[in-house]
Amino acid sequence: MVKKQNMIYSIFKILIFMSLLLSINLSAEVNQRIVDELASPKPEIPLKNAMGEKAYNDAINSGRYRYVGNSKCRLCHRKFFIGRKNDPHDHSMESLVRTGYEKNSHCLTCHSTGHGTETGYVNEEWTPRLSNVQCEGCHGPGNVHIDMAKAKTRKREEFIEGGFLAGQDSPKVLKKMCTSCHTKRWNKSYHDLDKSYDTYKKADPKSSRYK
Amino acid sequence: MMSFIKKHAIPIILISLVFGISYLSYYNYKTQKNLLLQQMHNNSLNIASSISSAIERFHDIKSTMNLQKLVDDVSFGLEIFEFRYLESDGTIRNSMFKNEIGTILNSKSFVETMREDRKLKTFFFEVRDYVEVMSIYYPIYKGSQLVGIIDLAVDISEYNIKKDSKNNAPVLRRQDDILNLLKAMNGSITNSLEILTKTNINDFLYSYVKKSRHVRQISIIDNKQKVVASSDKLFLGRVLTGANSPSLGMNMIDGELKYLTIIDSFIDKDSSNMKLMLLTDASTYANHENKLLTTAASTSIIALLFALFTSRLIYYTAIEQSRKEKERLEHLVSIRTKEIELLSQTDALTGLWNRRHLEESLDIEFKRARRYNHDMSIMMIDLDHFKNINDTYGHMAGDEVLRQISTRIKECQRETDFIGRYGGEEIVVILPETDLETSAQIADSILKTIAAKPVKFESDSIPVTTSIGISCLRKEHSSYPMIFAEADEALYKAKENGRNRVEIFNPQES
Repeated sequence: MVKKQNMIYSIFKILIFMSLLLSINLSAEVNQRIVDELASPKPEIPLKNAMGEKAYNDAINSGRYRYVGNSKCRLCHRKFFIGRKNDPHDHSMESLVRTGYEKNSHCLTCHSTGHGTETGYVNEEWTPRLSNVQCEGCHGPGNVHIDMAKAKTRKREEFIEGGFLAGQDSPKVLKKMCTSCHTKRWNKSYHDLDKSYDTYKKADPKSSRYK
Repeated sequence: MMSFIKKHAIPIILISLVFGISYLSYYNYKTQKNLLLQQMHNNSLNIASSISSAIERFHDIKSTMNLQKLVDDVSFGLEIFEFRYLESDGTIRNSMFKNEIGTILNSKSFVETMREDRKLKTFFFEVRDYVEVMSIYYPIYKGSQLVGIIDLAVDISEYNIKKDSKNNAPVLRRQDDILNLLKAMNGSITNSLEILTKTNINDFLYSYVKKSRHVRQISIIDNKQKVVASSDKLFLGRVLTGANSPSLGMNMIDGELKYLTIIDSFIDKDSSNMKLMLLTDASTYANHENKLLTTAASTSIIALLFALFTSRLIYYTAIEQSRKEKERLEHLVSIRTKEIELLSQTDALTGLWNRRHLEESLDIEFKRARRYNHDMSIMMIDLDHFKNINDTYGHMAGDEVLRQISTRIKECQRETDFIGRYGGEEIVVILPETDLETSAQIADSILKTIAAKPVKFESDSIPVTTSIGISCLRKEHSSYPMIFAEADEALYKAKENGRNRVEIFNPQES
């Protein structure tokens, strides 16, 4: 009886060991890119990378730009808001939570909105509404755009590109925003930048992509 | 043309002056009038803007409140995710999403709530637009009647990260905050509804008109010219087209001058094409305009009178001047005529009567003496050896001698005697009313006066003597040459008898 019990225990032990091995094996396979990423230098803040250091510093240091969160965008761009909720960008934080890297600044640079800037994402406690890659994640701070939209007399010439630092009028900067995070290592979601860029112009890119 | 202008320069200048002043005063009147009109129009615009802002406020009250503004103003700490004001049937009266105003809300939770599967005025959790939110349907009652529902949803994503935290203290605290806010909103909405039911836009306009001094009527007309609201209740519902439509500007209405303005798109809200029609009292304007017109007219009339007066004055002055000038000229002419007459009758050298005048006078005196049977004598005086004087002393001396002799003869002349130079050195004296005896005495004195002293010419002293022949009128004389010839004969005799003597014609001798 005791022998049998022992055998069962040992079988369990072997099973546990093997499953452990397997799991380590599997996770090792998945995490290789993370390991490589963490081993490489910390990526540049996407906006800084896209705009160039000088323009970025001038804009951010002027104190005029502030991240507001996409619920403000929703007031006017409700369709886009719903569309983005179907999009992996708006779930980018989930993979960090799953792997336990949700507090790693290295990862948050690309997985949150505006991390690394003064008004951008800090953590889930303080800035819950800037988690994930939102509208402002690609277009830059949105407060100026909102002020413009509210103003009765809009002086467009005062704010180029609708008040965004990476607005639709400068696709060069926008595309650089894409490639800032979607490097060779993480270039999972697209193969043709221009095609993907055009798809993302639509209100609901995912639904149009899978139609 | 130029001559015409020159001739009529003064009238032309005066007329142009009158016209100029008239035009200027008219221009001034026009400008002032336009200013007044502009001022009135501006006043109307001011009134319109004040009314439209009042009506805008009215509209604000009507749409319960500006939710958009509220969303911006209220800071919860919790983000307002959705905010609507619904009527009891679910029609969205106001929403933070402008494009859904007027549609009916048919979300699952709302339908459930209206089916009474879910309670009003309680918090629940649901997913809206893929976002987990905490919502509440808050009823607004008027009395016991449900008049509206506030639909409020807040984003609680920060609490979702920690699982099963929906009922924890922070969320409950937020719920209290939200309930307090909703209570306040409820109060303001019921207040607004109360005001709304009490206030009528027509009454508002009526009270506005009553309060203001110059506004007579305010109406709101839509794009089909129909009066939607008016301070004048009789006006309501009328369509202002054709003969009904009032003309802009001045109108005589009910015996009073009124100014009518229509201000377009005074309310931008609801994208309606409402216009504001404003009737203002223009009697003050009419007064001012009358005054201005009177001033302009009187200025012109004064200018005209002034011009007339001036022209009259100039005319009189000119007439007077020309009359004086004429008198002066006439006087001058008469003097000159006399001079010329004298010149034609006198001898240039001696100043005695010339031969022609002498003969005329002789003729007249002869005829008179004969007719009245009066005496008359003729004396013929001739210088002795005058030719010698001329030859010896020169012609200038001869002339001087003649002049001196003439003067000396004149000294002996009586007032009624005529002395004339008959020719060369011959001088004739007509002595009317004089008999031979008297004539002889006069001739004697002449002779003596001349011979008494020599004539002085430059350094020379020329001794002069004369011979005199006298004749007098007698019955047998029929014409003056006869008596003249007798005198001449007597002179010849005097010369023959040795000169420097007087000879009287003796009829017996011839």
